[in-house]
Amino acid sequence: MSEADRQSKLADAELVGGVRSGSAAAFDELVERHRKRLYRLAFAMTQDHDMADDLSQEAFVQAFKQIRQLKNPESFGPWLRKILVNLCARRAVAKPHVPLMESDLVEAEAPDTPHAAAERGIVRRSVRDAVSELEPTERAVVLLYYMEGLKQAEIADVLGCPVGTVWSRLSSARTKLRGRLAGLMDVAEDCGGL
Amino acid sequence: MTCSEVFDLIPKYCNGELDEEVRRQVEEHLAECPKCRTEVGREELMQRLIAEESSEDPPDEYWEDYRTRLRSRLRGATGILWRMGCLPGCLMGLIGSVLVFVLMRHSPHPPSVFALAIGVVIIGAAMGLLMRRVGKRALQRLQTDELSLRRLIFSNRSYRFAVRVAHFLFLLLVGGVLGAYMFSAFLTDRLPPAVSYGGAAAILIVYTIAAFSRLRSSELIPNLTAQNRQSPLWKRLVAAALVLPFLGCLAWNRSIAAAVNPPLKISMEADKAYERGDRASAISMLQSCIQRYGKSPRVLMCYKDLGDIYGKMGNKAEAKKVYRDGVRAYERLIAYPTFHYNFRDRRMLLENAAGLYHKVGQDQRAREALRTMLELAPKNAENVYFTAEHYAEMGDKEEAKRLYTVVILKFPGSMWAQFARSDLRRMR
Repeated sequence: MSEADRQSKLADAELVGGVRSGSAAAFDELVERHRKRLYRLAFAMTQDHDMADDLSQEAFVQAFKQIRQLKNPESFGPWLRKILVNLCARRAVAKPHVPLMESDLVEAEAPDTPHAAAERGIVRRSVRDAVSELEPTERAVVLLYYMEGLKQAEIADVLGCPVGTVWSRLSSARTKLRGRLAGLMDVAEDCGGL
Repeated sequence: MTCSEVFDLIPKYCNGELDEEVRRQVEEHLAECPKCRTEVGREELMQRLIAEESSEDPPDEYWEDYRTRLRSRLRGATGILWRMGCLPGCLMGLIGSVLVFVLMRHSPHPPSVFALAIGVVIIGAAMGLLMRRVGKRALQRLQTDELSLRRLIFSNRSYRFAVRVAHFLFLLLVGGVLGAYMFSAFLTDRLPPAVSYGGAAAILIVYTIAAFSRLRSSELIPNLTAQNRQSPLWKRLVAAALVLPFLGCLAWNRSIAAAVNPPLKISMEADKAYERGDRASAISMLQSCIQRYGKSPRVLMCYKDLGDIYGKMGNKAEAKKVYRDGVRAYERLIAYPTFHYNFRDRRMLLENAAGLYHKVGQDQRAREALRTMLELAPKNAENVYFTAEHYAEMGDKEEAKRLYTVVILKFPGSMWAQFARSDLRRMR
């Protein structure tokens, strides 16, 4: 069995132990396991490929440098996300908002038609615009809650703030998103889903 | 449950965060309330939209060289070569500086601690740069990289321990001891002793804790709470709490030095002008210095020099007037707070006051000033020597001889002892 195969069978905690002992294969396996998810979160936070690439790699670098400070090796994933969220917060970018026109919304048709593809693009654009318009702290909460599926207590640990703060940011963000996506959701309900 | 209560709980309901009892109550309400059911539907839709549409995967080609790019970034981030040079460099610089200081302290021109501290930093930085340059080439020749070197070092227990010991010594000696000394002796010598020594003690304590933490584990800063350590705001506050007072002390010291130091330089320039024969310039310089730096403890030097110039010109009345003005200036200066005077300021104040009192015929007061001057630093050879010199100028040869003898007996190898011997021979 190759070193890579052996590493792929170990849990995150064991891999962290391997990295602390100087194992490059262990670190490579951790990167392999978490890189896609980390990239998706970074892209959702920044809506920019280059920045997502830079931030996700920087998060791995920081994790490597600070690996000995990780108290619970089994929570490497949440800890890595915490590093990424902090990096994103430091490099918060306000993307310019281009309002979506009512006339851009079209009726839903079969998914494999050009109209459906265009509609999907509009949906994607409106969701991303709505999310990127949020305050960086609200955006982080929304993405960790809806995209990553974390519980509020877990989000509080990632962001380093009280659970009550997470809830109030989530409520505020939901109100804004509901307002921003109201038209889209009305169309979705009328057409039986997107 | 009311619609308002259920509405607030909808996100938790959709995310499965409600406990059994509350969930049951919400479902009972939903069974009877179409409006809330619609809201749940919209919440689930929004959840799906955000989960599926707010992000995307890059093309597959993106991942092909991901590992290479990451390793390249890591290589730049490790900095192990720099540390391998810098740490031993600073420690060697420190040991060398201490040896130089001990061996040369009695020589005619002993090096100052400030210069030696700068030497430590320069040697450390130079060795760090050298190791980085040479080390990179060596690693290339060996077809390896910093990352592999780091792995090699940290996979070996003895190496890891040696690195920790080096960090420990660096933090304790260079950061703690040297940093505390530099802070109290040079950067805050014009602040009240409580601030100066308190700040030095704080530096020593912080670096000692950091040193022992480094020895015990890999943490450089004691872990207050895991939550706080990751917060950028906390780090900013700590950095501000450490850096701002430090910068404040530096700014204070510099501003006081700007207000206090100039009379010495001006007095020396006036001396040169007088020796050139340009008495008018000398007098003008000293008069404007007195006017501008009237609150400086070193201004008494200008009074004394100005009076001496008038005396040499034969204008004894004017000379006496200047000496009396100098005495009044001294009495005014000591009436105000003097905590911002450093050792040199106090010594110059007292030795010039003694000279001025002697010139106006108040020898008792002059002796009191010289006694106070001696008490400032009785174990400092330079201070004792200059006190003896002023006693000799006043005509008190007995006291002058006694103090010259003290310098010779207590500081035998120093240049002050040599000066004291030749002055004693002259007096005999």
